Amino acid sequence: MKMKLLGTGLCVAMSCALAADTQGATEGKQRTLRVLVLKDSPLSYRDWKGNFVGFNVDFGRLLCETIKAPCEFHEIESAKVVSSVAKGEFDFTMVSLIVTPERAKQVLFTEPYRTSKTFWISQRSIGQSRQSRVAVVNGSLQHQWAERNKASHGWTLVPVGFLPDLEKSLRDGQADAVISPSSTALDIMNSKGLGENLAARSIESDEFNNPVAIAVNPADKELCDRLNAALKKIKTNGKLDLINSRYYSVRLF
Amino acid sequence: MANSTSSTQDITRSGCFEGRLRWFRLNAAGKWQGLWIAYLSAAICVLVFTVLSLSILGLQQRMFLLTNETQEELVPQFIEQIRAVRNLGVLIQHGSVATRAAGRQVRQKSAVLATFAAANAASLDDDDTRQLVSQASELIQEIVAGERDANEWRQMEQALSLRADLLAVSTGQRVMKRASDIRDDSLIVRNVTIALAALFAFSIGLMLLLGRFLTRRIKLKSQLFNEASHDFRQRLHGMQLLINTARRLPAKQVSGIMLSLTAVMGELQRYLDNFLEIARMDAVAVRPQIGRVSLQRVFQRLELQFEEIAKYNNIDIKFIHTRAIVFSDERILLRILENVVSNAIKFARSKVLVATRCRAGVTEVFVIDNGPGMPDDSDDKLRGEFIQGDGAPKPGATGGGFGLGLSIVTRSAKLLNASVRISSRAGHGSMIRLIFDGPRQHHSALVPRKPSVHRAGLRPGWRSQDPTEPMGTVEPSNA
Repeated sequence: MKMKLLGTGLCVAMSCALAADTQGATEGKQRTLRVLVLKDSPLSYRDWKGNFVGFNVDFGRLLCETIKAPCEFHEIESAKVVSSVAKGEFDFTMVSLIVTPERAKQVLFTEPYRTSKTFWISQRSIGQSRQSRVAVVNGSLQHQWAERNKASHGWTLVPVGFLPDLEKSLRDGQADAVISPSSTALDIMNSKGLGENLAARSIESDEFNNPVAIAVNPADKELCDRLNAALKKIKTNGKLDLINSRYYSVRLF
Repeated sequence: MANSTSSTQDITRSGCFEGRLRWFRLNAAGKWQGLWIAYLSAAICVLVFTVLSLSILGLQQRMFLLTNETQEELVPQFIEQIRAVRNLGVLIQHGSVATRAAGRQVRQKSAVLATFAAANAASLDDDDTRQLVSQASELIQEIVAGERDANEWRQMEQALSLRADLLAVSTGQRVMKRASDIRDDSLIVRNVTIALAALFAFSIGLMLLLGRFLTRRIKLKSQLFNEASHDFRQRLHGMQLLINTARRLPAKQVSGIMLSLTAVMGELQRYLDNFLEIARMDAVAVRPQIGRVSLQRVFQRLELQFEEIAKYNNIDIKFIHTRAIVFSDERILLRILENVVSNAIKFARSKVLVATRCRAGVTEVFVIDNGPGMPDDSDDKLRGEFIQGDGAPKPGATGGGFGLGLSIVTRSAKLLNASVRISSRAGHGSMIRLIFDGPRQHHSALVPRKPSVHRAGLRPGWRSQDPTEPMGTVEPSNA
């Protein structure tokens, strides 16, 4: 009888240990998060080997490392960012997305981590820009703003697919002015051959001065919370500053 | 002198333990008052201990919250402010280049970089700084565009520098304040912990004292009952023997036995009365009714009470006339002297003297007998309830031992704030002194009647009143 009880006890213990191992293995094997970045952006691009690089890519990798989740990066054009995340095709974005009430209805946003600026870059000021051809990234917040203001200024909009196309439109003479986010504006001003009189000036509009945050799959509130905790941590432990200094002399956040 | 044995005992100062517990016995009337004070002290200790423990818990919780808040909120805010200060510096630097550089392209690039820095030169909830850097960014761009004078930048540069300094200082001040808060709390916790440790030690000491006090009381009481039961049994046994003897004797001789039996019965009755008196004094906090008491009146009552008994025992008893007045309880005083005189008559061979003496504010009543006295090895026993010298009559014989009487004497004397001293010399007699030395004792009539001692037939050696002086010359004249 004693042997029987001992055997039963051993079986139960082994079953428990096995169940615990299986559970541990399941927990250890997390699903890979799909992270969205902008295609050909100054903050996210591919190097000559085809690997994703840039401030937003490193920032995304640091977040994944902090929340201890494997990540894979996907690139997309600006116009499709919000809708793709809203549909749940991607888990979160590293796109420097400006938080607007309309976007907040479609996706979850983390706590903001920096403030955005938008620049008017042209040889003429906005006040003297009547009849100008103005290039904007198709579907971007800048595009929406230009659409609302083009009539009053007499602008002709030149929508482009990606951020680098803004500089190209100026260089090719397709546009007289561009409306660009800050990182691209910095690149444009550093480019050569765009003319001596090219000037950049920030557009002081409440739409553009909004904070920038990470858009998260609206069905995954838990991921949003984990990303918030990770953001707080990396802003405190100095790792984000290291990435910032690797790319820019000023703080991006 | 060398061969003489004598003992002097201060019953009310019986040992250092009694001394340590003296504060428990604030007055003789409230014998349980000390115990209640101990209980109250223990309860207060427990209460204070609980309050202090809860205070420590509360403070530790507060420190825990402060530390958490520092980690979760304050440190991120510090870092954000440090970044803001750095970006303000970058804004000032690029603004200076943008407004003063010679090349237009350099100025344009610097203006973009300045705007870039201005975008994140203030935390999201710092509206004042955000407004200032926004103005600075606009000014830079207007100067670069040639819309405003470059000299206007100087004033803005000063304002930005001042803001950067303010942010840096305020960050330092917040760190200092938080550090001070945590330090202050730590100090309070340390002090409360020290107080707690001291209270704990005090409580343990109190408990030990209380334990020893109670143990002693229980031990004494246990001893009282053991010895009392033994004495009761002896007396009853004596009575049984007398009854058995009476049964066997012819009727003519029984009357003598009956007389003895009556005496033993009387003795047993007194013994029982004494025992019940002790029990009553233990159980009830007797409160003396203090008033002016004429010792002469007390002596007269005693004389009336003991005259016949003394005659019956062939004892010459003398009460020396006195005019002394003491502040005391007459009933209790009478009870004390009844016991002492009764005891003296029982043990005296032929004489008993009762007298008073007033000197230096101290009134003494002393009772001297020329009985067998007590050996000096009975010092410890003197403090107990049952004291009988070796020469004391045995139970069953007429006039049983002092026994419980001395216990009643010492306990009652405590109630009256008086002390009892026994001086004795084996084979020569005993002297018991009742000393009233309180500040309110009145001795309007000093009665230093030295001859009274001689008149009583006792030698002057009894007059040695110093408690530390051995009673070497005590010797009843007819011994």
